Formats: sequence, structure tokens, C-alpha cells
Amino acid sequence: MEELKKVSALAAVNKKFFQDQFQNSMDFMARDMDLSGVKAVLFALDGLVSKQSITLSILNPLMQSEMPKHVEDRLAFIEETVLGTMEQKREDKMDTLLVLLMSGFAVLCVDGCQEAVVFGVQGFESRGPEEPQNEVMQRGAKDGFTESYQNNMAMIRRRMKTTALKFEKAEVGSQSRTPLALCYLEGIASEEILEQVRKRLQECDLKTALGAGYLTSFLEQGGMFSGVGMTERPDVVCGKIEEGRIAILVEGTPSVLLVPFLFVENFQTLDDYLTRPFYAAFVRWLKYIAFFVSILLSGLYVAITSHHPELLPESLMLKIAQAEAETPFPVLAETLLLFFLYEMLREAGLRAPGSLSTTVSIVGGLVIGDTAVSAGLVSAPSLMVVALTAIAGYAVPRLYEPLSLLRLGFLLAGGFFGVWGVMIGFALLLMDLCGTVSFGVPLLTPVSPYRGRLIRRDVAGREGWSRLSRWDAKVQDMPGSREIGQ
Amino acid sequence: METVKHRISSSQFFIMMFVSRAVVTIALNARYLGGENMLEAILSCGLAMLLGIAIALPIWGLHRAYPTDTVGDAAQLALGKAGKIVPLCYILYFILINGSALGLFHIFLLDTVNPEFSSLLTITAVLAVAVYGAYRGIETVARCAVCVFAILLLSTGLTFFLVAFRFDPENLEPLFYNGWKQTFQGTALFLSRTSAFADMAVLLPMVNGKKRRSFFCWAGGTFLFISVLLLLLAGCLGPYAATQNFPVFVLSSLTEIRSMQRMDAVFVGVWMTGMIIKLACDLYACRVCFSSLTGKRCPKTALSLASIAVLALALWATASPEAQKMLLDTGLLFGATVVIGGGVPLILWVISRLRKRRGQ
Repeated sequence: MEELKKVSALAAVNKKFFQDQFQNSMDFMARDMDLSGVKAVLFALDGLVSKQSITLSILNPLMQSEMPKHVEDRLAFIEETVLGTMEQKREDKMDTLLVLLMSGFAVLCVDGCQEAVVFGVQGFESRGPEEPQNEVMQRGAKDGFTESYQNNMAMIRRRMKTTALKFEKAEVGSQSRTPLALCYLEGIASEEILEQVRKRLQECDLKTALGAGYLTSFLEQGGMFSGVGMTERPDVVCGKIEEGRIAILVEGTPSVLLVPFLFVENFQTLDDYLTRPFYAAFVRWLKYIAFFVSILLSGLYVAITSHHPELLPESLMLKIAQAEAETPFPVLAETLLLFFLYEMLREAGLRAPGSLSTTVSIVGGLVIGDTAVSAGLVSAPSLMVVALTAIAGYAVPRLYEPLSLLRLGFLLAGGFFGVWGVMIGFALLLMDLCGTVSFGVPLLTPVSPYRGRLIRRDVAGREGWSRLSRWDAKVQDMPGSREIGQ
Repeated sequence: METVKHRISSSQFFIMMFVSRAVVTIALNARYLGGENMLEAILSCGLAMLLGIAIALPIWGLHRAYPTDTVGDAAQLALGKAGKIVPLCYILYFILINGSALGLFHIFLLDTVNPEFSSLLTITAVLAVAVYGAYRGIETVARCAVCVFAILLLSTGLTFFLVAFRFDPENLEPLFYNGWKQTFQGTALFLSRTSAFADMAVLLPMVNGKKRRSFFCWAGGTFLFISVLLLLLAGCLGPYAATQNFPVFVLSSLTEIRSMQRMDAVFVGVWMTGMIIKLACDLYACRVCFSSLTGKRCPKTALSLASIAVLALALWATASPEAQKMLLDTGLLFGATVVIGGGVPLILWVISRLRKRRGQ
């Protein structure tokens, strides 16, 4: 029975096939029907379909109908005269029917017909749109993507009422068969980049794709900073696709992937475009400073206090020396200890159940912030530096992961090789950043390759909407962009 | 042969050349300049610029004749199999000049800074980053060079501004007090410390945009940068500059920003990043020459071998005074730069012209 590839003309044979496939699965439902003497079976999976829709749109009309005598007229009669579902199609391949069943469709097999009719009656529970916790905006919309990619498509469509907006269906995961949609604006997105995205998704040899993050490693080129962006906000996706980017909506996750994604975009938020330009520019500069503070401050602190105290003003040097003299560990060990303690606390606070996370934070704050200093285990300046770098990292939340690793790297480089170690590390980081390309677009553009006008617009500041609206800023036209694969 | 495509813009390329040239100039001293008068070195620099333009003429001619081929490929087109010797010579030249530059930096670390940590490990780390850059490709190095250029301009601009307050015209000495010898030796030194001509011969086919205009901007900009540096050295340090092995470092030690004293560690860091760009660019050029030599993509091992040779040469340069004399003094490097930078392209250009005239 397992080798059944096509739908059988006998509904009972089809029923046996599905029963074998879903053996031991209590969610499998098969409803036998007698439609004026013709045997039929309706299949569905409990929890994925709306039983009310099935009863009202399929079962009731079918029961009340009079089936045609001729076998070949039956399906056409059901499709055109009896049933009132919007989404319905015929299918004869068993493999496809299985996938459709598991995607929330109902399948109707009628005796005498070598095709089945499939109805879109999905009715699974899903979370309503809420404000994304990871991307809180002051002035932006308060809705965020949900786990259903179809709802997410609707959220984008509501904001972009143009026929140029396209959603292309694809699938990843040989086991999970996770559906996804490529979202772009036709005529704006580069055909070449689009083709490359399709190709990479096709080549993606995943068994299961349980989140958008599964796909990033297939889409990015490597390097410390990713060339794939992620957002949970429909308004951000709309802004990005308007600039020629391609969004990838994956079923089962509220995070949408964006490609190509530039390094400077990590510092941009929608709020920048909703506030006055001069304030947006100020906030951006604050974020750049926070980025450098976050990666370099602890390394430089250790480097200067351990190897180049002459760089510090005398009074500050004396104060730090005084504080360090009372602690048992060298500055590097002390800062490393604080760094790891902080990261542990952060992880514990993040993963602990809601009610416990507050306790973890309070205990951690008290232990590290107060007791460790008063016990003379760590110095107050070291604690302050580690705390400052951690807080600065949250000013650019998209970069938190690489930032925490870079912080550790610079800390070690500064501890072992002084300011020079930090500079060598910085050069290495710069090389990595300059060498990374996201779908043919250099990650560091428009800083390097340089384009003054774009720097004024996107990096150093922001132009008012009266000017911005006149820009035709496609990501594939950024300086340094080239044909993919060159 | 590796197909050469336009990859970087002319401004990126010449910014990379500027950084390479500027960082080597930081290691100027009276011993190598052949005299104590820093002001005369400005004339040497000007003369070197004019001579440099003359040396570059055959490179431009060759590039015009073979716009998409590197000097190694052009040599094989012009000379057949015998032309393989040209990329080999370029590889050896790049190893020599970078070994010398890294050696100079190593001597600086050992003599002047005397760090608590291993200087060998430091120069190895510098070289490792450069190899990583060369491995990632010329686009990576060129983009990185633009960022380092900005850092270099900001830091040297700040240093120049701060030390300018210590400028005393009385420190300036009259020109040509001891004849013209120093001027000529200085000219030779400035020319010998640059691998820009060899880089141009190898990498120009990968550059697009207004190359000639960028070249003149580079020549003028480099002259301006070095002149200001020398003027400040002469005016701020006076005769004291002549007694120092690394007077530019001493100059940077004079900087004070209110209570922030001694920015020399930052200065060394900037020098180091510039050095990484120079090494990465030359190692990439080595990689291209390897491809010309073998006709295949350059294997990673070849790049690693070249970098090991550079490191060995740098360590040898610091090992004995004889080695220092050979590798760091002007003689050998000047000869190699003129022959490799100007001589080889000139011969190839003449051959290509003759062939064209014969209709071959």
C-alpha cells in the first residue's frame, strides 16, 4: 500500500493509504460519507483545520447534494456547484496530498474519481499581532509579525497596496517542508539578487527549518557581521523592500529575513525616520559611539592600565592605581571575571522563568555591584568599565552577539599586547568587515567603498522626508556593488 | 592565467598606495637621509616625486599596451616562456621590500619602545592580519585602506596640529650647507622605500576610473604629507631630530591634549595598521605574480610561504648590523625599486612597441 503514488478510484483504498501513513497519530481524521449512493471520504488533521468551516462549507452542502451518475462529472459538480470554499484545487499525487493535509487542508476522495479535491480550511490557533519585544519603537506601529507567514504577508500587503508587491512561494526542509515566501517589489529588487536567493534556498539541505535563523548560514557569506538582517516589524520590511531588498517570510517564526543587509543598517531604526532629522542624526552618532565603546573600552582600559599608564592623566591614573592596589587579581583577570559574570547573569536572566528573572537580576546586581567591590575582590573602576560596555552594547541590539565576542577578543588582545594588540585586533576586524559582501553589495558601503552623498544621507545624518522621497535608493546601486559571482 | 577584472577604483588604489608610502616614511631618520638637515629632505622628497613620475611612465605605457594584463602576464605575452622570470623577480622584490619594512618596524619596537610583550609575536600578528587581508582579496585591502587612511589623516592631523605649537623657526637650518649630497641620498631613500611602482605594474589592470588623475593626486598628496612632517620635525625638534633613530616617534611623544599626555602608543598603533595595509597589498601583488607564474589560481600555501619569507627577512634584518646595512640602507632597495618599478616595464614596453611596429 505504501507504494501508492496516485489517488485511487476507490475511496476505501485511499483511506487505507492515509491510515497507514498516519498510523498511531490520534490527530488524523477520516469521515466516511454516502453521497446519494456514492462513497466518499473526507480527510483532515485535527487542530490544523477549522471544524466549523468543514461542517458549514463542506459536509453540509455535500450531504444535501445529489451526485451525478457519471463518474467524470462528480468532481466538477462538487467544485462548481456544491462547495463554497475559496481555496480549492484538484490533486492526484499522494505525496502532495500528504503535505497539504499536514498544512491544514482537507482532502476529499470520491469513489470513481482518480483525483482528490483539496480545500483550504486552515483553522489553527495563532497568536495575534503584538509589539515585538526585541524591536521596541517610540513612534512606530505597535504591531509585529506573528508565527503565521500568511498573516505576515497580509500585514505587508496592508501597508503596500501595489501590484508590484510579489510573494513567491518556496519550501525548505526535507522533513519539515516549511513553507516560506520571498517578498519583493517587482521592478525595484534586482533580478540577479532574487535569482541568487532562490538558488541558495533551493540548495539549502536542511531536514527541518524551525526558525528563520536556520536559513541565515545559507544566505550569508561568513564573517563576524552578518549580511542578512532580521526584523519582526512589518513597517521595517516595507521600508526595506522599497529600497530593493528581498524579505524572506518563514512559516512558524515572527522573524523575517532581509537581504542584502548592510552594516550601517544595524544602527538604523524606523524611529530615525519618524523623528526630526537633526535628532535622528544625533541618535545615530550616539549609537556609533556606543558601538566603539562597547567593543573597545574594556580592552583599552586593560591595555592602558596594564601597559601604557602614561596615556592617562595623572590624577585618573592614581585613582585607578589606588583602587587596583586593594584587589587581589591583575586588571585583566578581574575584567575577564566581571565580563563572564555579567554574561552569565544576562543569560540566566534571559532564560529563567519570568518570575525568577527579576530575582536573578537583583541577586546578580547586588552580588556583583556591591558585595564584590566592598569585599575587595574587584575594583570599582573595572566594574564600571564592564557595566558601561555592556550597556553600550544594548544601544545597538542587533549587534549584541558579535559585540560580546569582540569585547572578549579586544579584552584579551589589550591584556596581552597593550594598545597595539587592540589596534591589531581592530585592523583584523576592519579587514573582516571590508571583505564581507552581502549578495554582491559590500557590507561596509557607503563608508568604504565611499560615497559622500550616501554617507550624509544614511550614515552621518538623515535628510528630511521632503528630500528623501526624491531619492531612488536601491541597495543594488550602492557603491562597490557588482555582479554576483564575479 | 587568472582573468583580471576591474575590481577597485583608482581612488581606492592610490589611497592604498598613499597609506603604504606614508607609514614607511614615518621611519625616516638622519642616518638613512644621509645628513642632519630635515629641511633639505623636503627637496629630496620633491625630487623623488618628479623622478617617481618618470619611473612610472613605462608602467603607464605598458598598461596602455596590455590594459587587462598584469606585468607578469604581459611579460609572457611579450617574451614567451622566458617571460616567467618577470613575475618571479616581482615576487622576490616584494619579499625583499616588505621584509625590509617589517624589519624596520621590528627594530623600532626593540630599540625605542621596548615593550613588555614579545615584539616577535607582535610583528607575527601584524603579518598574520596582512596575510588574512591578502587572502580575502584586493577589494578587501583597498576598502580597509580607505578606513585606515581616514584614521591616519585624523591622527596625524591631530599630532601635526598639536606639535605645531612647538614650532620654532630658529630650529631651521640653512639649505645646502654641506652641499647637495644629502639631497641626492634623500631622493634615493624616498624612492627606495616605496613599492608603489611595482604595485602599479602588477595591480593597475584591476583598477578602473581616472587612473592618471589619481596618480598625480597621490604623488602630490604624498609630497605634501611628507613635507609637512619633515617641516615639523625640523622646526619642532631642531638638531635633536638628527640624534634620534625614529624622530617622528619622538615628535609624537611631544603631543599633549590638556592632561592627556604621550600619545605615542596610539601613534605606534596607527603605524601598525598602516603597515598591515602595506603588507597586505604587496602580499596580494605577490599572489597575482604567483598566478602569472603558474597559470593557475594562487594556492594558499604560496601566500603563506611568501609571508614566512618576509618574516624571516625581517628577523634577519634585526639580527646583525651587516644585515641591517644590506636590507635597510638605500643601495640595494633603490636599485631594486628602479629596476623592478621602472626598468622591467620599460623593457617590456619597448618590446611591445617593436612588435607592434613589425605588425606581430
